[in-house]
Amino acid sequence: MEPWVVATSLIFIYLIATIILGVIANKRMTVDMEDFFLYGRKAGFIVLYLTVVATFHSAFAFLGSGGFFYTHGIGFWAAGTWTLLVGAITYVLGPRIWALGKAHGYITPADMLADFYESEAVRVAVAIVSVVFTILYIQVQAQGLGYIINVASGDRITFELGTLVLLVVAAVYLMAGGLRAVYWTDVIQGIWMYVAVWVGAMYLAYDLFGGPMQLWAEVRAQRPDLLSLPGPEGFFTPGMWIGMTITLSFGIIFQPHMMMRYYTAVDAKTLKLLGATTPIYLMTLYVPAALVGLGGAVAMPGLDVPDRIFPELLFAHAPPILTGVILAGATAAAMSTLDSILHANMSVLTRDIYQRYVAPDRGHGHYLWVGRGIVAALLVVGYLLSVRTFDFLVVLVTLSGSGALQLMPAIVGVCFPMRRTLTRAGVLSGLLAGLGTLYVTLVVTPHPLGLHGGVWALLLNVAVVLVVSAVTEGPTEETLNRIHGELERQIYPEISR
Amino acid sequence: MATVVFLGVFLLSMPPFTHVVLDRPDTWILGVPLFFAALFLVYSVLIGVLVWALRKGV
Repeated sequence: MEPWVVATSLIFIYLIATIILGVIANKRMTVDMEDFFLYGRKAGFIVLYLTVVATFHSAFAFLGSGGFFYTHGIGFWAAGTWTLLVGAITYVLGPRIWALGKAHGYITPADMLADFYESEAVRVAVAIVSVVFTILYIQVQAQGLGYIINVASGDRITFELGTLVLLVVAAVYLMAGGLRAVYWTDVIQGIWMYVAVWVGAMYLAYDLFGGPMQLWAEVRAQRPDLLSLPGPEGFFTPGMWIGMTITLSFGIIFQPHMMMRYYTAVDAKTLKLLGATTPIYLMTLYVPAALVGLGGAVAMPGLDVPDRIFPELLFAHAPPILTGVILAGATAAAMSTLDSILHANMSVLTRDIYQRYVAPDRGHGHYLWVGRGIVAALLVVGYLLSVRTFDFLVVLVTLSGSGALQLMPAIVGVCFPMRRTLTRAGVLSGLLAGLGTLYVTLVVTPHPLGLHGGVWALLLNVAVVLVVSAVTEGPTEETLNRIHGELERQIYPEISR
Repeated sequence: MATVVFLGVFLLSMPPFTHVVLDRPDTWILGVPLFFAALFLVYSVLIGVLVWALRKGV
């Protein structure tokens, strides 16, 4: 049997399995918004662990990271820094967000921020930022899926058709089973992608070089320029290193699909365990990516699209079955992030816009059907964005993270009681200043003075938040006691006693 | 304490340490570039600090 038949068949078997899981999840579902949007707030450690890592690692981890090692060299090992920060942020911030969500029934990030800052303007601004910047992320995942199926089929299935099929499958199981379907499929996807990337990388290392150590030796002999900073194209300057660390940790965590996972945990201890252990999975996935990217630069130089290095190497050197299994793993990596983003955007638009401003007093079933309609609309938008642009995957991820990063001062103001409380005018002004600066520092004059544009925007954002908050009125005492009081009861029980 | 240790070790994965001290393409450890091996060690220690904090109930 020809390799492309095996690879494509395995991907389609995998897709059918995800739809079956979506149908089973639908049978278990109740007509309840918390059940559909938040898994009923009862996700245990194993499910939460695998959905968080599978959602964090996406087409970017499977394709973009190998491509980045291929182009820019060993500097991409900086990836470990943001995976470690993701764990630390989850450890510190996760239990606080969980406690507030459980106590006050929050479903979206905007619920929490609007409640604390007593402002509908804050709700709308956060909802807009959440949706606009994660739609870019839908594009990244959908493009990754298109690449994978296009390569797997040997150009027999076009990029456009592949993207459409995989988007539709993700939307179908999401509409059927809500977040339960997303979590269940993420469990499979999380395991599959980890095994696939390690097995694929090790197979290639042994087949092409005789082992990982020999691979490193060949890179040293043939491409020493890939083994030093800032890399062959001068990308990994200190400013970019620090900037990517911040934007790809805080910036990803503050995207709604990641933040909402904190609401879904069964308890705070689960989130602390999650924070302490997720970096093990997240960081170690970049080890095989380094082998693929650096080894690929030696074995298959001159690729027009460096992001394709992993599938191209597999097709050239691995047995068809192994290639199929691994490319199905790559599909899993992209779909696990895509379904989560679709779900988060559906939740934000249903909860923060439709339920709040269009039809406030309808039953849960009504909102569930509206959510499904929104998923269908997002599918169309995501598809159009995907087939019209072909930028480098990691740059898009960075842009997405930089936008959500601008929510950081507002979130910190809620979750960490401080002497001088931040105000609604402060966080709104800061958000506007941050987003305006982001446009300048990422689009007009990218990364001034070698520092990542997202960090420039955050610095100005924080300065504006502090100055405006100093001269404007903050939340009422009643709100402070209700929200910060809850944090003290949950996080500092010894103080509240 | 755990926070201070985490931040202290984390600085070893940041510039200028990475760009000045670890960026030595001619130095290798056990068949792997110093840069890669040293950062792997730093990342592993950071995971250890998080687990330690969890066990202490911080």
